[in-house]
Amino acid sequence: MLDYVDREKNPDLCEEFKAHSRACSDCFNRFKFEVSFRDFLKAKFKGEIVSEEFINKIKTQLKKLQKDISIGEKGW
Amino acid sequence: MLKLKKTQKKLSEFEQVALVHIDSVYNVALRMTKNTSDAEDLVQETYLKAFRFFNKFQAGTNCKAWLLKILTNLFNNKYRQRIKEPPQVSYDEVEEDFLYSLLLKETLEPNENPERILFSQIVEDDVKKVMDNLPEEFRMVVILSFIEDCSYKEIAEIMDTNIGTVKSRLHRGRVMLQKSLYEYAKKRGFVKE
Repeated sequence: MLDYVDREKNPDLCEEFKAHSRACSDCFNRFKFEVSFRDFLKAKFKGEIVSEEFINKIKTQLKKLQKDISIGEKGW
Repeated sequence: MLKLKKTQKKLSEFEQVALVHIDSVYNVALRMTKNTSDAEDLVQETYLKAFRFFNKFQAGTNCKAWLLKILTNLFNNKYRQRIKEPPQVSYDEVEEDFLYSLLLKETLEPNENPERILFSQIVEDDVKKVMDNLPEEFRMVVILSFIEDCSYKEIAEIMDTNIGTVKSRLHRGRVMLQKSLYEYAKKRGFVKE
């Protein structure tokens, strides 16, 4: 069941499970609960947005590293 | 001069394919380090290391997974020791449908949806505490699967383990989270004892 919740089964097996769950309210309700749990967690944690200031800081560091690489001090 | 142009082109390409994933990379870093300062340091180190090894990245493959693998290695080698891990959440003898069965059988009126009752009332801070208290090896798998939508195979590659271990950790992590959330819900009176 949890493989279905995690969207890991191939489409044919998903169809089989859907057909089964239409006839089995226990499986259907449990499936619905577990999907809600996934969605609930995702909604609580997905919202982190990195600030432009932090992105610019990384870009500056990358540019510095790119110059070091181009003069042969680091990498490549 | 030629090398300078080549590296400038590489940087531009890197920014296009890698920097677009910075919110996800930061999100995972924050959940793993549990504080913004370490998370920012970890993200910065991840991007610098990724750029240094960008010539090893295969164009067209999953860049987010590649970045998260670098992040995971850095976290394991440098940050892991610093993080104060909570006491282990008890897992033994908990059935995989523990929370669903409990809510269904013991705490709800007929015709009520267990997910609506529990999930609509638990506050964000409690959820964050519960996630932070999850042991690190389970927390990582849960975040990558639930929050970042990585497949079992991608998680196995990121964490350098096998799919069986990923499934087992995800399963245990899910039950531990549900058990802890239920405890919070009980404390706050959202569900009956």
